[in-house]
Amino acid sequence: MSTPTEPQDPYGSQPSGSGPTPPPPYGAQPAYGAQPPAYGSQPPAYGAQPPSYGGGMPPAGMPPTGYGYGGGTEKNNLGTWALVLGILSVVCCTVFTGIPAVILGNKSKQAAAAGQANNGNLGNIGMILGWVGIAFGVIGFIFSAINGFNYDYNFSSY
Amino acid sequence: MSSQSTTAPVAQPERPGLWPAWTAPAVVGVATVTATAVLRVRTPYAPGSYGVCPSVALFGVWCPACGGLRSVHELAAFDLTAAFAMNPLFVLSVPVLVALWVWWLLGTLGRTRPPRLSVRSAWLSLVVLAVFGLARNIPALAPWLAP
Repeated sequence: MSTPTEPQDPYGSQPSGSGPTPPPPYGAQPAYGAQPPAYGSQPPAYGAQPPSYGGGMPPAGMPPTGYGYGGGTEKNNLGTWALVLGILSVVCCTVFTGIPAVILGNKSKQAAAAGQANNGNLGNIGMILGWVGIAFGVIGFIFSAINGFNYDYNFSSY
Repeated sequence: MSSQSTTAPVAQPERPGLWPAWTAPAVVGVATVTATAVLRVRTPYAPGSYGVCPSVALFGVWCPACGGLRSVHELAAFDLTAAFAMNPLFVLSVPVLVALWVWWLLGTLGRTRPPRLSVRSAWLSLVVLAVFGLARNIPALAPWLAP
C-alpha cells in the first residue's frame, strides 16, 4: 500500500493526486486533502482500498472522524450510512431502510472492533434506529392488517 | 491514482460462509422485482391498501417516501409522468439505485470492485431527503412535489 508512505515524502515526490489542489502548508496533509475530490467524482470506484482515508474525512463537522489520521477510518462509511438509513427508517421508510441500517450497523461495529473504523458508535445508533424503524413498520403493518388494509383515513387532499 | 495496491481484492474475501457472495444482491433483486409485481397487480391507490403512512396519519405531513408505492405502481406500467407526479425524487433515484445494485452484483461476482459509498454521500443523501421532505410540504411547491 502506498498510502502510508505518501506522507513520508511529501516534499519530494508530490503524490500524483495532489495536482488539482493548491499546496497546503503541511506535507502530510496534501495526501489526504487531494483524495476527497477523487472520491467525490466517483466515490465507489476505489472500492475496498486503503486510500479511503479521504472518504472518512470530508464531513468536516463530524466528531467521529476528527481523529485517527493514522488509520482506522477506511470503513467509517458503514457507520454513517447505518445512521442515515436508521434515521430514515424511523422517519418514513420503516423496513425498507431499517433492514439495511441494521446490517450496516452490524458491519460497522465489526469494522470498529477490527480497527478499520472509529465511528462504531454511529453504527450502533444506526442499528438501534433501524430496529425501531422495523418495529414501526411491523406495528403499522399489523395495525393495517387488523383493519383489513382498509384504513379509513381521509386522503381527500389528492 | 498511484495507489492501485496489489493486495486490493477484487472480490470480497471476508465471507467464506455457506452462501456465495452474490446471495445478498440476488435476494434484494428478487425481492424488489416481486414487490414491484405485487404493487402493479394490487393497486396502492386505495387508501390503506398497504397500510397507511404514519407521518400522514399522525401528523398530516408528507414524508419523503410518501407516494413511493404509487410511484412504483406507475413505473411498473412505464408511466413516467404519473410516477413522477407521485414521488419525483424516488423516480429520479431509481436509475441510481439500479446502477448501484448492478455494481454491487458485479462486485460480488468478482467482475469489479464493490461500490463504496462515502461518508459524504451518506450525509448528502440525508440532506437531500430532508430538503425534499420539507419542500413537498410547502403549499406553493406541493402541486409538483407532493403525491
